[in-house]
Amino acid sequence: MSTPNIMSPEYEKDPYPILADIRENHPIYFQEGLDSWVISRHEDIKSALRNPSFTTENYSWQLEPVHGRSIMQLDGSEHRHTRAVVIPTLRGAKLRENFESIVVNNSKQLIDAWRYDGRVELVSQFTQRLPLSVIIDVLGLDPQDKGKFHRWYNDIHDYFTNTTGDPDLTAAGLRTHDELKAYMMPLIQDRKENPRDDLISQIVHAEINGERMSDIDIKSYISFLLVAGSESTDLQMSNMWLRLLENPDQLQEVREDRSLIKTAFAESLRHTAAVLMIMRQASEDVEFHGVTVPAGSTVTLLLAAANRDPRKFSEPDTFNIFRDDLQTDREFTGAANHMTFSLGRHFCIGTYLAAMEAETATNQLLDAMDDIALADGHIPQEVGSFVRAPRYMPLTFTPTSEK
Amino acid sequence: MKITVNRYACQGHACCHALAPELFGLNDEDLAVLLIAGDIPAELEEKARLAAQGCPEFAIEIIEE
Repeated sequence: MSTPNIMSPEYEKDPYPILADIRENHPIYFQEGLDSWVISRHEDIKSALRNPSFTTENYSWQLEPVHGRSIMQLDGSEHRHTRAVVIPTLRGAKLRENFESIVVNNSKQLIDAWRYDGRVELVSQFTQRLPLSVIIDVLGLDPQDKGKFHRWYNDIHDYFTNTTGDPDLTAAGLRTHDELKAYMMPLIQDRKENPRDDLISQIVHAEINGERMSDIDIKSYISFLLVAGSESTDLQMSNMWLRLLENPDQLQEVREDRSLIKTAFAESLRHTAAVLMIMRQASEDVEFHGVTVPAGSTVTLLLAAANRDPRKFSEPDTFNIFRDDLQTDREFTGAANHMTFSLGRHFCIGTYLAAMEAETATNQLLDAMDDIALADGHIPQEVGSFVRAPRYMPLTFTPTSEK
Repeated sequence: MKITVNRYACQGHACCHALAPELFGLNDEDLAVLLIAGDIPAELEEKARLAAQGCPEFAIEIIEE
């Protein structure tokens, strides 16, 4: 049996057969090139995420070059206090009150640009734009600079998905670090003197153990939120739409009963996770299936493999919003059956925001478009090895009268 | 049945509050607060287990008696 390879062109083309081979035949192996141990079974990933021996020290080389030292690297009370600054905005009881109108307005603006055209490229004209516009408004950044943020967003996305090591993409990604810093520092200064009702001001004026964060830490925090708050939602919405377009019966069910949007989004998180894998670092020796992962080594957790583990899910390769074990409300909490939000201290902070964005936006899209179908003969190609989604999805539709 | 919340483990994901609002509220920092001291009424035991299962930080412990 040959050793699997998640760095290969075959994997990039269609990861799921390779993920299945890994999960069934190589539950622990060392991936050359990535320089990392790899685990993939649902049970193993859950146990790794529960195990305090796995730290997030890996983000010092994964995220820090672009964002600076971010919340993903923090631990213990420092993490809790830093996180508490954004919790009321992103997870508190007022989430819907704070965000719903922002989501509705941004979504409407995007749809209005093409709603009578009868055709749309859903990624560049919608999914890629909406979450970024929302987080820009929430942070309180200038909407006039959306174009600039969109470019940084794309450069950062390309940096983190640059598996072929293209030096131009690496350079562009690292350049965003300096450009974002140059943009943010005067803005942070301004909010210190003239606080507004926005998330940047909240972060700037927050006290953690009686002290304010340094400007550079604030900059890293905003930089991280800007990307984390938009990219994964963009990709996951694209994935959900592709699965629904391939399954017109299910799309029709969702159209007729809009409470199923959140269910469809949850099933897409399991079946077609936008984030295929995350990493952790072992702080001491840990054993999986008789193999010792030595202290100090990196472990890759193949979330997408766990999400289709037949030990956990029946007919795991089928996208089915009516599957028996799907309990929508649980799927956005630590009780989720899928592993896409991770678990433990760094469990995704944005699960409720993402669900609300997907629900609101999908409602508006369905209201604006009838007879939605992929443009003639087009089969969207999902791209990416670490994060993955279609990046070009031309659709045709019958415009509805405006509601 | 009794419930304990490890306040040092809680990161404020508010999953318990979403899954079992009868049992868990949020304080002014949006961290979990147990609303029922002592024994959990039998009709809420199932919800308590769900909330414990739904805590991403494993901060909720169920003590079955």
